[in-house]
Amino acid sequence: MEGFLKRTAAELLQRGVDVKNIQVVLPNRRAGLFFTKYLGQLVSRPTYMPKVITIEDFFYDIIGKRPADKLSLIYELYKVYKTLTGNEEGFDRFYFWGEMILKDFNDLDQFLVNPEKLFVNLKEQKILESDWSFLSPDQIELIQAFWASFESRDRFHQEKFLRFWDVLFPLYQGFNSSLKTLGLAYGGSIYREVVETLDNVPPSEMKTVFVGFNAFTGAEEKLIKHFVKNFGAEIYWDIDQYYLNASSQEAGMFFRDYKKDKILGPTFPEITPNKIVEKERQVKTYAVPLKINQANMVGAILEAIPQKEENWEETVVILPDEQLLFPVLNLLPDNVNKVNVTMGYPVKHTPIFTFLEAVVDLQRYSKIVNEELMFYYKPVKELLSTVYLYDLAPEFSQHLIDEFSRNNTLYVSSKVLKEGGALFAQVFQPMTTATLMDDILGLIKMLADSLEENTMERTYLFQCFKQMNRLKVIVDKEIKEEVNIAFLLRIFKQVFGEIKLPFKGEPLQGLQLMGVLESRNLDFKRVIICNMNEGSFPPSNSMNSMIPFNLRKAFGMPIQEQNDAIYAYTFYRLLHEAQEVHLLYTTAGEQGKVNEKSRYIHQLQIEMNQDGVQKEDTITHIPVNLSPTRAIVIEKDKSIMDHLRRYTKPLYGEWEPLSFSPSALNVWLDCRLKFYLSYIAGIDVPEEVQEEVDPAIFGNLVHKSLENLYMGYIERKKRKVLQVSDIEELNDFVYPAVMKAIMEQYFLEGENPQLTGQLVIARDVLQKYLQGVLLKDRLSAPFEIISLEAGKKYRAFVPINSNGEELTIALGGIIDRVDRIGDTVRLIDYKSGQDKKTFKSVESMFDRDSSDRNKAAMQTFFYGLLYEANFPDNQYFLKPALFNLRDIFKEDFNPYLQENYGYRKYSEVKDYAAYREDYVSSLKSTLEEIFDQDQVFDQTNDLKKCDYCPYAEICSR
Amino acid sequence: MSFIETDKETKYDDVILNLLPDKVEKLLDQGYQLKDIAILVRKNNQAAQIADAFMSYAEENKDNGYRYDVLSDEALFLTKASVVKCLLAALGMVNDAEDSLAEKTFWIQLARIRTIPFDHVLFRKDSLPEEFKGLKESFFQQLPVFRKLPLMDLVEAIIDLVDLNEGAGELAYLSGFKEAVYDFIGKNRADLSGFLNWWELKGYKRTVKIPEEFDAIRIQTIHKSKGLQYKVVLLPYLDWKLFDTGKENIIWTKYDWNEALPPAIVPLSVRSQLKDSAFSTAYLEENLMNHLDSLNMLYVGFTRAEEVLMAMAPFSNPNKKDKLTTVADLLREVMQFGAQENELLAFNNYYNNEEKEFDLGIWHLNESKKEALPPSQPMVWKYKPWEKSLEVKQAFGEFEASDIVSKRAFGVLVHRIIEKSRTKKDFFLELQSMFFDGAITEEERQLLESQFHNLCQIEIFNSWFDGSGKVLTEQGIFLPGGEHKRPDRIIYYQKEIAVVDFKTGEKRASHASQVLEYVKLVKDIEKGMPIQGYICYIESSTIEKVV
Repeated sequence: MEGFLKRTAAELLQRGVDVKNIQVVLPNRRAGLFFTKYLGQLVSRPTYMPKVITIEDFFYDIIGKRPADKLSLIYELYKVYKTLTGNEEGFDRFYFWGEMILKDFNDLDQFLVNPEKLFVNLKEQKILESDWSFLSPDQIELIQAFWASFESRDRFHQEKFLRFWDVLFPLYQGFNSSLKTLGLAYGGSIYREVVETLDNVPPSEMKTVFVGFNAFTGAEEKLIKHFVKNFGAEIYWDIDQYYLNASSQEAGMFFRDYKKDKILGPTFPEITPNKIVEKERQVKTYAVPLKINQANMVGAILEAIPQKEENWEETVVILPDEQLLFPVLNLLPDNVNKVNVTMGYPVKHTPIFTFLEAVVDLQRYSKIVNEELMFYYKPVKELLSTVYLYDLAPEFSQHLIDEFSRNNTLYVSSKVLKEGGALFAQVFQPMTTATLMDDILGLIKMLADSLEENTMERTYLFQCFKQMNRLKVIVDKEIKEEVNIAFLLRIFKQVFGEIKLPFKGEPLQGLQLMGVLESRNLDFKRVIICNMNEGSFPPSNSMNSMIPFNLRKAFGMPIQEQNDAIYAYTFYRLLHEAQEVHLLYTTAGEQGKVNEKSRYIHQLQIEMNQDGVQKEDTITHIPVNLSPTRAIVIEKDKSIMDHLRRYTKPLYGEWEPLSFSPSALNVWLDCRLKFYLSYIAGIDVPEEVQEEVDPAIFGNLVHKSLENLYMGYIERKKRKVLQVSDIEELNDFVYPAVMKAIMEQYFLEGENPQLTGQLVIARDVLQKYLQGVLLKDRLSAPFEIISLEAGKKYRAFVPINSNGEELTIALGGIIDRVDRIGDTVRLIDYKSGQDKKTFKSVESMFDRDSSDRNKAAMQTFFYGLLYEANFPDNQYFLKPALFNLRDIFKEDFNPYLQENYGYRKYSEVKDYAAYREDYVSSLKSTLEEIFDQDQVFDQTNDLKKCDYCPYAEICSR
Repeated sequence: MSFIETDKETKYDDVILNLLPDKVEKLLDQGYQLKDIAILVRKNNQAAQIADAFMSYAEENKDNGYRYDVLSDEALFLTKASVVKCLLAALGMVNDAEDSLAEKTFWIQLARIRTIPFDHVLFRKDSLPEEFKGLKESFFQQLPVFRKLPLMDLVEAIIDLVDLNEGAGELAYLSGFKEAVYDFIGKNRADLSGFLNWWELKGYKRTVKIPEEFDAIRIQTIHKSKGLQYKVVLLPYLDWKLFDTGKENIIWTKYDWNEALPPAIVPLSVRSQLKDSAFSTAYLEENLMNHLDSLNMLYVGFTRAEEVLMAMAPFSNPNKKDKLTTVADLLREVMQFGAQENELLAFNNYYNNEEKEFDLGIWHLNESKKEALPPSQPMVWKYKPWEKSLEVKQAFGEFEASDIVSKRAFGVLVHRIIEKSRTKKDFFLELQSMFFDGAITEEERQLLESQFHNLCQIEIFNSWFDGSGKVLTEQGIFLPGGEHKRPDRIIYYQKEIAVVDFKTGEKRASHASQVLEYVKLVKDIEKGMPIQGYICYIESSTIEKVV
């Protein structure tokens, strides 16, 4: 198809000069490829190719220098900085500063700014900014009142601050001369050197042609003018009247300036093309909700292109946001048979790289305990789950992962981890600044060894390997001793994050996918541009520079305005030859923000008077339909009934019955489906390592501590009755009882382990609670302990009538503590949460629809039933009690249940026997409901209950 | 403004949710469009409830000629969709194959999507309905592959395997989820467990996004509506407390607990008991501020509408002490106000005590423009793994510190540098940039340098690089029709031309014929000059003259 490069090629050929002796300078490599291609299509007999070169290489070749890599450059800069200031700041802290300084040096060289003048100006401006002498004494007083440390800041900090600006010029000089000694250079210094020695540039034996430039840097402009003036070089401009002649169009900003120039002006053609206006084209605009939907849209646009279309290279998809590449590629329609992508494949997205990164990152989560290296469990767990470690030793890895949650492991020793094998040993080892590079290189080698030849993973690894080698050379040679490991990690991420691998393929064939700037000089029949949003196209380039706007402008360095002009040009020039333009923008930005559509779309819709331009954007809407959440109802089939049978006592002892605990009954009353999922379907909820002392863990600790305290007493004294004096004595055992519980819970070892953080608080709160319990117990003493929780599991059997059949249901449970005071046996449950002690009636404890059903009461009454079943001859009163520890210090603390039988009327539950009949009958009907074949398992209606239910995801609640 | 009476059995919220579709239908009949309507609420969860209510109402009344699309940043949570739950569970399975809860969730959600009946076979551990057995097998077969996929590709692969792209519906939610993954990998280490953690902490709050221009009812909090305006505003939840002491509000207050010491600053939970404590001043101040806030909120809500304002509040009789606890109480009292002095509006004139309704103004005349949605723009939802369209170029090499020396790669490298270099100086420049790129190490650089020096000991080799002739290196020869040939090196001396091709590896007959072809081409272009052709074998440093 027609286009700027093709026209230029044809023009060059037509002149009949020997193409061999022409060198063509272009803004980038890709334009060169296309240019050569067009030229080749035009020759009629064997002909040499011209020399095709980018402007950068053109500079480099003249002087015979190449820029060194950034890391070495910044290190050189750092060395000069250190000698100049005597500052002991470390390299790692300097690095990010250095990056900015280097960028500014580069800029000012490329634009041929006099560094001395610039930096003197800069310093003076800074003095002005930090000088308060222009303030009146009143004003200073005001500020002082507001800011007490004004005075000291004024002297010390201000001077230190200004000294920094002082150093910039000597730094520039020193840096450049030290590079010269070393034979190194950076881009800007090469440009400047070329321009400063222009007179030495020998006349080229080749004719030079500059093709397709828009904005020159200062150095470029000077060099190109030199070639035009002295060596008869020519310039081919890729321009259009539309923006060249309208001063309101920023796209033409540079051209308008150059056209006025004495030397450059005459190189402009007599007749400027007017294609944007003369040629009709379709311009369609689409508002798409999400970034990712642009890929769906691009797919649809491409699919709509007639099947017979063979020249895919005439269609381009421009992606201002590179990340969109893969979503677009994943949705290419089948009619697109060939694709060419200018962007590379980012290695950082591959799992093998994330694995390496995680290995390096792991070092941040290590600590030395008793001369042993320990790693924090979370990153370890993630590493163990990766395909690279897990699949090497699945059992070993799974075992460790299970152990973490079972033992609540927070830190795991590298010794243990190394047992997994050689690769494990390589990963879970200490890495220091001195060894990290070699360790990672070693790891890469080991990973590569296990891979087959020719896999992509090997290629990714090989790239990493090469980069690592290079990094190692620099670090080994130069900066080894001066950085810490955190810095290396950052550099590692930065360097590796940028690695991109090229794609296979013939660059000039197939659908073209590219970034914005790569499209320069290329023409396409069909143009699809994504991310037509402000901030993406044009990008919002915040100038990362120490030199403020006014100085940049005054010294002719690029500012935002120039940037905008460059992007505007790249946009408008795509219209030159396009017959069909599709512009996509997204309406949703980052969460919560609205994305604005690009000014270019507004401009086209308002300024361009063409029928083909769509004035109102096509709004794409993806229907927001949610499939209705179907209620879950499970009917009791035979297998479920069989399963339930296991909770009944068999006639002839065919099986050992399972028993229902009070919490199982509570679950049934809360939500029948939850009961089903957990007791019948058998869906396990995965355990997790608990770092924090969450309420459940704290509850455990309470129980354990109290058990330790009293169990310890019984074992020591070999008796079960406690007197007042015994209780006082027990105060000394609170601490060890608590510590023992904590150590068991967290699998701690040693005589007296150091607790940290939350555990210290938990320990102290536990001690308080235990002391509180002792205080209350002292008032009840003397009493006899009948059982403590772990010591005895109580069981009972209740006959029910189910579907016309007599069944005996097994019940069971653990009572925290059973003791006897006089003729009253207390059935005690410790509670660390907030449980009420009042209940309306026995029935209300089983009423699932009641909003204040007292579960704890249901549970403690259940203990009454259990106790009676175990001590059928019981003559004592059975008194349920709830020790809620939060309330234990309250003066009116009363652990006993209260029946609320009327407005503000309460009576204390003194004996289970008085409620037995009601309780057993309610219990029975609950059990009968469980065994009722027609009672389905369904979801609770009370959504509040779902908030903390582990199965909420299953129910879609 | 209507006050709604409720009894014990019905909750105000439910009444409102039933009422709203009706109100919207009436507005549409009046000629308003969905996008003219804004429903302003107090809390985010109210927005979510309303959105849900409209969606299920729309589902139940599919063909009644009305649409009820809503647009809200606070309401349409991604996690509500079965496809999202299904995908998350699948990712959980890939991350941890032992996670049986994730696996069950996956199958149950998939059953929900495919309307497969819920029964014991589906729910029971270690069992699955027939329909899923094939999928389960292929899922676990794919698992090793899945675990090596980049995150985005993994999500696409699962969507494809489970067939969520087509037929499953909920595409807006699916897109939203993919966008979440997209945003995540843009900013973080792109690993699966990291993503799942992030989702649990932050991601679950993400909502479906709809273009602002889309014709849909806006649902927003009153807070966020500040400064905006709409033709129609509905305020369905005028029921909040003027001063809510139930929330765990904390205020920091000075407390002079010991006169000898400066006052302590203590955090207090705002509870009504504070009124009778030493902190009553702080409490009253807080009380005042809260009342002001409530009034401000009402002001904002009542001043957003251009044409129609519909407000709803629960009705309750004044309590014994005539205490005003909610904004509804406040509004109820206002309705009894007459106009005093120069006030223009006598509320009581427009308030119907029977209906409990305040009605002022007449309807704007609108032409009914109930129009059908424009046909939605087609989009493609098929997944074709990008590897099918193109491949990453493979790089070969040995994982040795100096891998080039031992193997063939060395020759290839010399070849690559030589073919680019016109002079000796070029060679060293090229070498230097390879070093800076990290392609070779320092030792390798030295080795390559000395290898080149060795080659230069050969006189004829040296003459190719010493500048005695004009050298063409990367300038190949075009053939008619767009093809081209690239001899490594053509040197124009004063009286003759040399054509050189560099080779690595074993000598082969085809090499010579290739050079002969080059020579013939050059002859075509440069008639009359004598031309020599050479093959240079780099590893063995031998040069063969062909012509």
